Amino acid sequence: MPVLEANGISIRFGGVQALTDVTLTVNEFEIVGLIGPNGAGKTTIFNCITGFYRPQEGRVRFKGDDISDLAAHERSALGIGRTFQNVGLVKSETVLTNMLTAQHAVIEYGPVAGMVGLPTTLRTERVLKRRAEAILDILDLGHLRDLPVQGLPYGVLKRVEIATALATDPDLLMLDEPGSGLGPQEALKLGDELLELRREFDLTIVLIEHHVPLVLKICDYVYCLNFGQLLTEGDPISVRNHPEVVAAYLGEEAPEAEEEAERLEAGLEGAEL
Amino acid sequence: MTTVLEPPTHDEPLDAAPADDRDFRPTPGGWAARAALPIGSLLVLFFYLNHFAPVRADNLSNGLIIAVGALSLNVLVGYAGQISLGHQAFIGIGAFTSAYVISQSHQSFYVALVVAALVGATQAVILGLVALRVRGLYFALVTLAWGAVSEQCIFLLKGFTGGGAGANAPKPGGFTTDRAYFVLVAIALGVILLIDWRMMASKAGRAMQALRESPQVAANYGVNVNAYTLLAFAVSGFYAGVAGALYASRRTTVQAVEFSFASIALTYLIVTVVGGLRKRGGIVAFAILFELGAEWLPDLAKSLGLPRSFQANAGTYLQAVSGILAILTLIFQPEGLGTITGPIGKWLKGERFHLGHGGGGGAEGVNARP
Amino acid sequence: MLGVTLVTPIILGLVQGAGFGLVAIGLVLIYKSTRVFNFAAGEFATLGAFASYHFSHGFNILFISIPKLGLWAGAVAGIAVGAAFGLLTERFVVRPLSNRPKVTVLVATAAIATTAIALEIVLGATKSFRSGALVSGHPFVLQGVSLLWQELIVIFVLVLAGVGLAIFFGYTDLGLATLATSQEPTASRLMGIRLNRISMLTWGLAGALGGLAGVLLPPVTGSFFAAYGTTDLLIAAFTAAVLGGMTSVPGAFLGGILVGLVQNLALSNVDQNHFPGAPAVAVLVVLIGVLVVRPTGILGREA
Repeated sequence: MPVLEANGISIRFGGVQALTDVTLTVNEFEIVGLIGPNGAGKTTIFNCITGFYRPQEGRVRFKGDDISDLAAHERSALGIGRTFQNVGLVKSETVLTNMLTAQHAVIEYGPVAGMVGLPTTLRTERVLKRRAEAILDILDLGHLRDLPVQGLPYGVLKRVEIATALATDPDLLMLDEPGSGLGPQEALKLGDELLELRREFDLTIVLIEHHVPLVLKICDYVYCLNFGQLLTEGDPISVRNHPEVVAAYLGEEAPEAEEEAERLEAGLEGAEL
Repeated sequence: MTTVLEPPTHDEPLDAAPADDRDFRPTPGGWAARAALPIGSLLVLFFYLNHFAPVRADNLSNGLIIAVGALSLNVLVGYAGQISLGHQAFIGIGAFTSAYVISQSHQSFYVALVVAALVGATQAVILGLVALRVRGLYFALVTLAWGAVSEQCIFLLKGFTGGGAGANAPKPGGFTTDRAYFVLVAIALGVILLIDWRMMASKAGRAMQALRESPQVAANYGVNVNAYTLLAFAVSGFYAGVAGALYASRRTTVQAVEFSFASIALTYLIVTVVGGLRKRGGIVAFAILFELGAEWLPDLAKSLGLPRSFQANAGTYLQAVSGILAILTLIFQPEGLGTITGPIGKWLKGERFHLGHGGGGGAEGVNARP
Repeated sequence: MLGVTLVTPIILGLVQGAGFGLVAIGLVLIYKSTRVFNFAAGEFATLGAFASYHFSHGFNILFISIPKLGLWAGAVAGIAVGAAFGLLTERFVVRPLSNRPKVTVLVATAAIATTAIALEIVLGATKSFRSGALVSGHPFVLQGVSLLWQELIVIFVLVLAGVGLAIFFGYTDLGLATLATSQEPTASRLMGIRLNRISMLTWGLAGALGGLAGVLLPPVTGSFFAAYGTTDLLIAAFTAAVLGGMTSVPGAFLGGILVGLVQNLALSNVDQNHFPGAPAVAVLVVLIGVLVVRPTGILGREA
C-alpha cells in the first residue's frame, strides 16, 4: 500500500499557476527523489502535502486516509516529518530544546498537567530527553545539545533539522534539499546516512535534491517537475537520461511561480510578529 | 578529567563551554556561600518586615502583586510573542470579580481567588480569539481599546462593581494584618512561579516559544498554533486574575480609578521589560525594586535635603526614570535585569558565575523573530 | 430634542473627530516613513496642551520660571514642544532601535508615554486644567445649538492640515521622497535620499500635529490632565488611522471624523447609567470590525 498519494494537485497564487495536476505516489520504505530546476514547484508540492498550502484541486492521502482537510500540525502528528529549504528550527532555543519541542505530538500528558508538574510529566520529560539524546547521538550531534541553534553553521543546522524531524516520530520523512551546502563527498556520505536512518527508523523518505549523484545513489524512484508540471518519472537512471530532463536543466528557468510561492511562504512565517 | 593547563582543543569548536566549566563542582565553601544567599535574603526580609511599620509590609505585598501581574504580561509578550497594552482590564476584572464573589456571593477569599483567576482566563481567551484574526501591531491596538472599554464600561457596571466607587474585598481570616497578608501574597507568587517554571519546562511552554518565533516551525513540530496561542492567553489571564484578587484584598476596597492605563498597563509592561522578557527572576526582582524605590525614595530625598516638591513627587520621578530605563534596556540590554539574575540562579544551582552567559533565548528583545 | 440627541453630538463629533484626525495623520506619517506604531502619539498632544497652558499662564517649576505670555504664544509653544518631543523620540529611541522587531519599537514608544505621563503629573499633579479658547464666543446658532469659534477653528485647521499634507506628499520633492522611502527604503537610499532626514521630518511633523491637537482640543472638551492624550485621543486616533488603512492621509482625516461622530452619537444616545462607556465600546467594535472585515481600510488600497 502506498504511504503517500498526491492526486492531481493544482494550486494558483493570484494569477500564477504554481502547480498543475501533479500526481505522485510513494510506497512504504521507498526513497523517492523530487528533482527539477529552480522554480519548478518542488517546495510547493511539499507545502501542499504537509498542509502549509491548500491546493485548489487534488487530494492528499497518507497511509490510505484522506488528509487533505487536516492542518499542518495534524499531519505532523500523523507521522509526516519535514525539513525546510531554509532551515525550520526555533533559533533562540538550544538544540536539545528543539528536540524536545519536536516531540510535542508524541507527548501523552496534557499541557495543564505539565504546568502543575504532575509526577508522570516529570517521568515523561526524562524519557523525551533520553530519546532526544539518542537521536542526536545517531546523527553525531550529541556534543551540540546545549548550544543555541542561532550561530551554528548552515551545514550543521541542516543536520539538526533532520534530527528534529526524526524526533517528531515520522513514518514519512520529507527533506527539502538536505544536501545543500555540502560538497560532493559529504553529499554521498549523507546518502549513506539516510539509508542507515531508513533502516533504523523504518522510514519512507521523499527528498528534494540537486546533488545528482546523491539522488542516483539512494533513490528508488524519481519525479522530475518543471514549470509546475510533472515532466517525467521513473527509476533514477532513466529519469536522469530523459532528454526533456536534460533540456530542462540546461534550458530556461521558471522563476515566477516559485518566487510567488516563496513570498507566500515568507508571509506564512509572519514578517513582523 | 581534571588535567590543567591543556591547550584548548579545536576538534570540537562548537562546545557550549570550556570543559573545566562543564565539570565544575563547587567546593564546600562554595556551597556554603550558595546556601548563605537565600538564607541571608530571608533573614533580611524577616528583619525588614518586623523592624519597620506594617505599612512597609503592605507595600512590599504590592511589589509582589506587581510581580504576578508582570509575569502574566511576560507569558503573552515574552513567551507567546503577543502584546497586551490593556492589562488594566486583565488585573481589574480579576479584582472586581474577587470583590463580587466575596461581598455579593458571600464566598470565602479562596473561592474568590479561584473564580477571579478563571474569569481572568476567560476574558483573556476572548481577546485571544481576536488575536487569531488580527495580528502583530494591529492586535496591540485592540488590546489598548479593550483596556479602555474595561476602564470606561466594565469597571463602572453597577451590577458587577457597584459603579466602580468601591467594592469590598476584605482580607481572609488569619491573614488580616498587613504582615500576615504579605505571607499569603508571597505564597501565591511562589505558586505562580512554580507553575511558570513547570510550564516552560514542559509541553506548553516549549510550544509557545516555538510559535512565537515561527508558527510554521511550530506547526511542523506538531503544535496546534491556534490552540496554544489561546492557551497562552488563558495562562496570562489566569495569573492576572490571581494578581487582581490579591490586589483587591490588599486594598480591601476596589476602586475603578486604580486600574488605569498608566498605572497598570504601562507600569507592568515596563516592569516586565526592565526585569527582562522570559526572565522570571529578573521580573520578580525588578517588581520588588520598583516598589521599594517608590517607597523609600521620598525618605531618601528628605534625608538628602532635596526640595519638598521633589519629595512629594519622588514616586512619579521614579516612574519617569523607569520609562527611560525600559528604553535603555530595549536598546542596550534586551535581557534586562535577567542579565544578572540568570547567572545568579545558575550559580545557586552549583555552576560557575558568568555574567552574560545566560544561555539561549531572549537576545532579540520583545520578539525573537527577525 | 433633535438638537441634543443629534445636532450637538454631530457638531462635537466633527470637532473632536478633527482633533483625532490631526493625531491620526501623525500616526500615518510615522507609519508610512518608519513602519512604527507610535504609542507615544497621545502624549505629544498632552505635552502640547501642558506647554500651551503653562506658557500662556506663566509658570514656576523647579528652577524655571516663565512670565504670562498669552494664549497665542502658548499655542505656538504647544506646537513647538510637540514637535521637539517628536524629534527627540526619533533621535534617541526610534533610530537606535531601527533594526529591531517592530514590536520592540512599539514597546519603546509605550515607555516614552510612561515617562511623559510621569513628567506631566509632576507638572500639574493629577488635577484637570481648564484651558482657554484662542477665540472665544460663538458666531452661529444651529437648531438651538450654539457653535463656538474654537470649534470652527479646529475643523478649519484640520482641513488646512489635510490639504497641506496632500499637496506636500503629492507635489513637493521632499514629500515624494518620503513616500518613496516608505515603499522602497533600500532603493531610496541608493537614489541619495537620506533616510534619517526623512525619519526626523516625519516624527517632527507628527509631533507638531499632536501638539496642535493638544492646543486646540481641550478648550472644546473643557479640560485636560496627565495622560489626557493617551486616554482621550490615542485609541480614537489609531482607529481613525486604521480606518484609513494606516497609510492614507485623507483616510485618516475621514476616519477621525467618523470616529468622532460614532463616539458622540454613542455618548448622547446611550444611557450612561445602564450602559457606561458606550463611546469606548463603539470604538472597539469599529476597530475590530475594520481589522477583521476590511484590513486595508475604508479607502481601500495599501499605499
